Amino acid sequence: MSRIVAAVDTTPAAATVLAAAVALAPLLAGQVEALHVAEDDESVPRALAEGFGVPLHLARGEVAAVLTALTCGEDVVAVVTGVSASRRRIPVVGHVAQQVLTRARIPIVAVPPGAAVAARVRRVLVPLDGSPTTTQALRQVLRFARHERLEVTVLHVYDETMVPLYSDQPVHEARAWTEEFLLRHCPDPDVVSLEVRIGSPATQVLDVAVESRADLLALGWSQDLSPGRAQVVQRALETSSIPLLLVPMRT
Amino acid sequence: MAAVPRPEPEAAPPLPTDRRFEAVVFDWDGTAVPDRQADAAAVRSVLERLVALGMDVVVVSGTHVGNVDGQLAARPAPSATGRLLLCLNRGSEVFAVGTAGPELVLRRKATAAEDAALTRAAESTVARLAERGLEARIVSQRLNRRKIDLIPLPEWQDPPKAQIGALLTGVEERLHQHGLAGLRDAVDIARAAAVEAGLADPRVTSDVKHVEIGLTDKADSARWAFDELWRRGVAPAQVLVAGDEMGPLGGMTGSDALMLVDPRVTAVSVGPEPAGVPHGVLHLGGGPARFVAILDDQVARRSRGEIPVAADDAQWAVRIAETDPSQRRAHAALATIADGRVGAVGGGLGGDSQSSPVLAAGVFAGEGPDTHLLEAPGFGRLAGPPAPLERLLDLHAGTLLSTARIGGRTVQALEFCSLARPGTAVLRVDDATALGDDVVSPPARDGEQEWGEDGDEQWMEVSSGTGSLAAAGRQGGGTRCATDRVVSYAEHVGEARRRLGDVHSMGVDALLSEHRAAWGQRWDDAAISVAGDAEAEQAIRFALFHLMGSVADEGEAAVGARGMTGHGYNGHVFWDADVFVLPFLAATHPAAARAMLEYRIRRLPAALDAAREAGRAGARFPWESALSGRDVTPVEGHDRLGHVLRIRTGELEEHIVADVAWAACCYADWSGDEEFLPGPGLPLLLETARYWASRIEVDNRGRGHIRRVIGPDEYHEDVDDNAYTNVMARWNLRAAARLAASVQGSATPAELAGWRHLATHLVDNHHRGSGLYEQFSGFWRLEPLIIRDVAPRRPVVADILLGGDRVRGAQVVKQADVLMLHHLVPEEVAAGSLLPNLDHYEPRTAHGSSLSPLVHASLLARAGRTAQALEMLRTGMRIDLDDVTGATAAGLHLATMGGLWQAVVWGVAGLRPAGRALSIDPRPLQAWGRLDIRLRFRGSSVRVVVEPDRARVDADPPIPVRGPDGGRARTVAHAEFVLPPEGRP
Repeated sequence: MSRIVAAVDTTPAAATVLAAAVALAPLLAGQVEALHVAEDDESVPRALAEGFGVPLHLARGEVAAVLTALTCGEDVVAVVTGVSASRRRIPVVGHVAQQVLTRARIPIVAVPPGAAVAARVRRVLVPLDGSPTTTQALRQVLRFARHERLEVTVLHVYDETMVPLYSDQPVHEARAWTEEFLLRHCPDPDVVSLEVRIGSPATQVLDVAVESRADLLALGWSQDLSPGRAQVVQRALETSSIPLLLVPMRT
Repeated sequence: MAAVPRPEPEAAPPLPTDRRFEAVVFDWDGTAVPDRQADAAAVRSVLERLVALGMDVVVVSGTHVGNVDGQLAARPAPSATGRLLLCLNRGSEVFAVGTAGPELVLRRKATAAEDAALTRAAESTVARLAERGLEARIVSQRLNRRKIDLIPLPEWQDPPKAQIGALLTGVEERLHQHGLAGLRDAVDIARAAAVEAGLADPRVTSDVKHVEIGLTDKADSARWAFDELWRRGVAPAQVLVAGDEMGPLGGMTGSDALMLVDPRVTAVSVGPEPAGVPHGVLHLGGGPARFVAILDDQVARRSRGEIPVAADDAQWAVRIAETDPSQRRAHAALATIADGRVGAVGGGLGGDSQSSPVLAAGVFAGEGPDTHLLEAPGFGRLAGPPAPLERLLDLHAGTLLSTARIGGRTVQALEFCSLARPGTAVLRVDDATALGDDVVSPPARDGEQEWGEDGDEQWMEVSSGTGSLAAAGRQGGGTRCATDRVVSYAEHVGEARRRLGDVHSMGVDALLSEHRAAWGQRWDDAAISVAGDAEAEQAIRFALFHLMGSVADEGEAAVGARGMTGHGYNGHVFWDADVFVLPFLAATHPAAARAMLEYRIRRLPAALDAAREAGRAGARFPWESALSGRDVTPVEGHDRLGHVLRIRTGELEEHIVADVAWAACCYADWSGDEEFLPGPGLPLLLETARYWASRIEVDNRGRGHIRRVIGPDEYHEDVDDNAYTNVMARWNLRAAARLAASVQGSATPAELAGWRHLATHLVDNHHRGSGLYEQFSGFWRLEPLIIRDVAPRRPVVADILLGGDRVRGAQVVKQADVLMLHHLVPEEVAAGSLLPNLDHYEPRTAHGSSLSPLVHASLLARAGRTAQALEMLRTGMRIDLDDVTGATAAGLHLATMGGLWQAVVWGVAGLRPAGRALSIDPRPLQAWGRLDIRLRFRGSSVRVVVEPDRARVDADPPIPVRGPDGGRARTVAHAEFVLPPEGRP
């Protein structure tokens, strides 16, 4: 049986993490279990787990190491964890989150503090810049979504330097380009809708996430949180109001 | 005692001859026959079979036709698609052998002076040898040569080739006795005598017994043969050269080594070669028997369906390796093989019909804006999932060679759509199990399908409400071995089956031979070579290949924006066809340009109706045209950003009306078809002029206006007095008036006077002081935004970058608009106006249309800004090769490809018709050492060579040529011009 491990602590954010894990369970086709890594009082996590009706596992050790090790387990399909990010920090996330996010071999669901978590994930936004990295996220979502009635919106953003070179007759051109873009990057073009925007990719991704009332933002990435890299992921970690499914390239 | 197993003998490594060749060039005496008295039945039989199978055969000999044909006596079957050519008389004659025997193709005839010089040279040689006491004798005075016998003794009267060693010993002993070091000295004496006699380039050869002084030799035969084979689509790498005297004899180059004029051939000697053979020649020995065995092997290879070895000339081929499956559809478009009627995207082996449809020109389904090309049945559906393909598109031969790993095996396929028999698709695959059972397979898109079979013949008809397409095909061969498919396409099953019956019996090899020859012929009239810029040369040839394959040369040719290379633009016909594709064909294959005009002529009734419905006179051709000739431009749609667009091009982009008339004149100017404009082309000019006459509004000051249009710059809609539209309309009115004046009764005098008056008074927005044309009334009141300065790069789709509203309110131009006039009708714009308008508009142009960079490249060249011109050329020429639009999968940008030809031929070479003359005024690009252009001008075959400091024109038959000085044209077969330094505007 596939497992979805929700990392819970004793903060109020733990409830949001568990809620997100439960909401994602049908999509990820796994059973949720809570994991608490600490030597402190386990009563809060236990109550929380019981509240959500999921088992609680306790682990000892360094949190990042435990969670990273989990991502190598064959039966774990995703780790759900709370992530608090701030642009005043380099990297934008703390040490534990950085270790987990950049070392995971499986998708990580990052739940920002105060994220709005739907009871069940219905709408997913997948930004796609045409690179294999972002295409990987879409493939993962569509694989997860095989048995779900999921509305998948693929978002392509032209930043100023990526504006198309030519558009002879805009309607004909748009039809041709859209068809090819989806065929090229989307394993099942019929189940997605394509949204194209122009502007800053990070801004547009977050705007469209709100506009489309997405429940989940799925981002493919190469797990590099250095300054200037993975700017969409970094901005999303910082400001997203919905959970993020971060799909590593090497999944 | 147990038997010790013997080790298996190691297989001999394959010889260079263990492969298929497409032509054989060989010496006669000693190679094909032991001597001139020998029975040639064996070689005759095998040569006749090879020619029937499409192989080209060239016999090279020093002797005359009576000797060779008398002995060979081969008579190819009437149906043979290979050619048997005799290159005789040591390079001075060529005969083509048909069913009735040899017919003279070419004869080099010495002038009287040359003849006299030959005689003097021979007599002088004999005299010089006699001075040394050596008796030599002039034994024949054949065509263009004199033959001197060095050993006129009875015992050496007619030595067989097999005794060449003994003969050499005998001759050299004789020469030594008279103080000569050897044969070389005798030849040197003859050469010196020839030069003294006044022969500038004497060819002195020896077969040991004789020394010959001539004007030509076997090298001339070989050069002609390779040129001819190239014209027949056979590359040097596909040719076997065979002789028996490749190695040196008596210090002289072997006589057959003279045939080695191209290092890419495979060369063998079957002679004894006592002194060995030159590097690169394989010495097989074995004499004529061995040679006949090689030819028998070639027959066997064809019989078992061996796939020809690719020429693989990097400058004439495009290699497309599929390393990323997501690129499959784009790669398929690049590898489209088409014959003007039918195009197979990616070839039949592309895999699924979604990525590799077969499309037919002008056959549509659907109605109105949804009208689209009806997809035809496929012919190469694979048995399993498509595997990554490596494709080699041979641009010169028009073939596609595909290699794939299928089911753990490497499978190779050769495919083509026959240019010689349009509507015929041919596929040979070396492993039949790779193919599915269906010879014809259903298309992926719409259409009702009917399917049937009769014995080994299958057919399928796909029909829509407006058209149908049928395919009938047969497959030969068994499993796990080569198999052939021949599929005929027509509108209906009956016709497809009838045509299949005609072609299937020919066999793939014969079909291939005539197809290659058809392509070779087309290239002979259209090839462009660029020395010093391999990338440009390949890109240009790639473009020309697709242009040629996309247009039929009979009946009517509906050339959609993407031709038959993809579903993009629904196959709709735009001004792209008339303005960008047609000129190339008018200048290289006028029949195809004529077929494009026939498409417009047959839709004239619809254009007349459209004008009438708009309350106008004459003919209004639609912005987007398909089957009926009614406008099929969509009226609404979404752009890439999902914005709903109201599409107004169908309503307002009326310059298409003048563009069609311009295309008719372009065809007439280049082709010299004197009957077209006064005949079937007449209404194209007159009815369009009538349209403009009714469309122009005359204000109270008597000035004519064309209000509410869209020019080529489609960023600005519903504008008044667009310069391009107005000037083209003016050109249209004047051209129609000139024509009508010469065709009695075509228009009334009052009508002609009215057209001329309107043309004179139609505003063109030209400002004399600045030399500028205002793109449309009010353009200069828009925000003076210089897109060059604000865009991160160009080309760029400015309305995506800046937003539609901003662009509409700014002086941002999508593509050449005013400048399009300087490109199309330079004689119709103010003299000297190119430079100011180029300086003004280019920085304001986003080049967001794929048509724009190459028009600018052309004009930058005309302006003498050759470095910028080359930069623009490079931008435009790789649009599809690099899939910079991300939409090449929907088809190739044919108009851009036509624009590339225009940039090179109009822009760089400065070639334009000037009345009945061809005008040349080059602007050489420094990076291009030598630009070599083939084209046709008014029935003549023309070759133009442009070098940095000079240009040359050769025409056969002669044509009037007007040089860069713009002076009077002179009718010449050859003209040379010295060019002024670079940078001349």
